[in-house]
Amino acid sequence: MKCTKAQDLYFWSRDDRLDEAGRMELARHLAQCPSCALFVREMDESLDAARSLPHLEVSEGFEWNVKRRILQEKSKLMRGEPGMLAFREKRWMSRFAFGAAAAAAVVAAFALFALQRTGTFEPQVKEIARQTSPSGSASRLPASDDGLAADYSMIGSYTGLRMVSDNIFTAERGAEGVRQSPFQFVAGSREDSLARENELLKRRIGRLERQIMLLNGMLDKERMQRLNMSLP
Amino acid sequence: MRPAELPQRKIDFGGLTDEELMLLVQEGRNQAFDVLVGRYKNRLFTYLCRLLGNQDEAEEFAQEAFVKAYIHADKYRTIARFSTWLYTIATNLVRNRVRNVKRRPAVVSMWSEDSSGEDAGKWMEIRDDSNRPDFEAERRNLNEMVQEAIEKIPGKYRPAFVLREMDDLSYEEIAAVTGLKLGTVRSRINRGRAHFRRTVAPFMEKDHDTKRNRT
Repeated sequence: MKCTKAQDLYFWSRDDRLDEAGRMELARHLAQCPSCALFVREMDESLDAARSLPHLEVSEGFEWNVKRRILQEKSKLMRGEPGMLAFREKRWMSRFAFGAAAAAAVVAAFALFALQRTGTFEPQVKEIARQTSPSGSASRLPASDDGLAADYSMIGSYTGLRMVSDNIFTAERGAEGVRQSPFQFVAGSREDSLARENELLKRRIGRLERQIMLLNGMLDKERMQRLNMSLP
Repeated sequence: MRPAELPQRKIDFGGLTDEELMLLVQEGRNQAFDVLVGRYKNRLFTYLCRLLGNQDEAEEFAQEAFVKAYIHADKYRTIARFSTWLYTIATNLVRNRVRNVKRRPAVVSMWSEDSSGEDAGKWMEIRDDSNRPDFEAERRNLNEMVQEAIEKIPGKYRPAFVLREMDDLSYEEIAAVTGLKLGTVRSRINRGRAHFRRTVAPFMEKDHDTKRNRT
């Protein structure tokens, strides 16, 4: 038998995959071949030394760190970061997202209602009232601005919901509604009116952004509480 | 009966097999995952230490492997042993890390002074070889020597060698972990053994001589 074959048999034998006949064949070769015998002895000693290496132990905080990282990963999943997909939380997350969105909408509506009631934007309302006639007609509009007059000619009769500057939705009803409509806030040119409109919209956006931040903070807190409850 | 179908009573998690525990994890029983972490943390950590030769890094990878196992628990199928699955995750993490390191060799930045002018110095990047195992220090004890010898086994053969020799996995399990064919697994184990012997045998010989001289 060649030495390479003997070494191959040795490896089979080392892995307990050599039958009795193979073992005997290997033993016969080793008895005759000193270099293979040396190879086997060195290999056995080396591999035994490798197997005798002690098992190592993780540091004390290992399990805590695993939990912490699981929590972080779950948070990422819930924030919908790219490349991350939840498994059993998927259904729960979608339910939670719907609930959170509904809650956010209610809170936002309430906040806006409260702001309206506290008269935060009274100056504009007063200005509107001062600049419009009690009848609610558009008679003070500049005669030259035909297009604008045509736009506002419908104001008195409109009774639906309309996007306005201070309130997201204002139901306009008859003369009272016209008096509060920002579209009547036209003291000067059309550009002037649009600039004021723009200013009011900017302020509203800023206010809504602050509210969104507040609501996001509340959502995060809620998420963390739920995750803490569901952690291993 | 699937563990999830068991009545909702207090379960002796410690008495369940790994695969049963994983089914419970899939059902949202996080306590089952605690038990699995407890069972495998030291084994996985040791395996990664042997592969990487760095305890901090090994612990980092072991944590990462457990996190991945938990997050992707729904992908686990009971046809494979949990240990095999966990080792596969860990081995893939190490493989990816090795790939990244290969792409970006370790360098250290040094400020090189130049005497020709005030601002003539420049930053130079030189290879950081301080952790390379071929920089022999003094003779160390046997365990350190063996660990160093494992690190000297080429990365291609090391996982198969460590899984076979230190974790006692079968060829089939190693094939599942590494994604290699059985024949390739066997040849890589044997080549790893040959590399390992080449490093360790001279040291063992010296060790024998020292012992003989003492007696």
